[in-house]
Amino acid sequence: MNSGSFRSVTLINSLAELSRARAEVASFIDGHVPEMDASHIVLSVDEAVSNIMRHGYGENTDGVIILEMYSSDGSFKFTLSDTAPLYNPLEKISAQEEPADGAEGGFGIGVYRRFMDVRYEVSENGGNRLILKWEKNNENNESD
Amino acid sequence: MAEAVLKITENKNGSVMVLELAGEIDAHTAPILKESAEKKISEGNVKLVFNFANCTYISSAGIGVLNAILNSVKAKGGIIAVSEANKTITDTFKVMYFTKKVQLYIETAAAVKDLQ
Repeated sequence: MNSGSFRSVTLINSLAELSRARAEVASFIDGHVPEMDASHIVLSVDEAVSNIMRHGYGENTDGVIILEMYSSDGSFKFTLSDTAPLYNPLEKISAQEEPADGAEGGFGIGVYRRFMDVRYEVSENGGNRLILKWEKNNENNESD
Repeated sequence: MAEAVLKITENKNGSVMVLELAGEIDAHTAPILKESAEKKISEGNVKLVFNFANCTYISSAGIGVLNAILNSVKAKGGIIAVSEANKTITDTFKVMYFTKKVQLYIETAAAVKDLQ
């Protein structure tokens, strides 16, 4: 376990950055969690970043997302900070809500809420901060 | 780090259009999938198999596109299926409840046969 590890990545508001975000997360957790849990973590962060880009910043190409990754004693924490208009995704959909027939959106937030403990807060600079925490003993994890 | 890429090739088998997906499907590349599938539907193809043999990733954006396509072809009496998805992609389909809506096949040939 890479106890106490930390990495920070700055993403610009471009969906082309999603691949880099996934690669950074995969690299950070590589070898420390079972394969399927790793897949869920990468997917969760991808969904959260994508949501900020599409619904937070939208067309604002000056937008930046700071992805900070922490590991400690078998747990991982991912903090996403942005300066998009205030938006709490946790007020929008539950983790178990099933998307309606034909719906193109509404899948992602439920996914990361299922696999991660998620908290939203307004940051010190007035922006959004989404905190996703993965615990080894989460009931939905493969490692249980 | 290179951005995600998605390449789609088509292969018509009788009344079934097989779209072979190569690369990753995320919010960046999902519009490529949407455009390609909608074009095939507009040409009269309402039985679609999405072959994931060379696809390594899908996020909710891609599944959202497939969900919309499913609705579109069902309205025209059609159907879609997914084939050759790897373990990770199959899990993502399950996580997003899409396995309740679409049949997943191990082999593309079996999917094509069932949809004919």
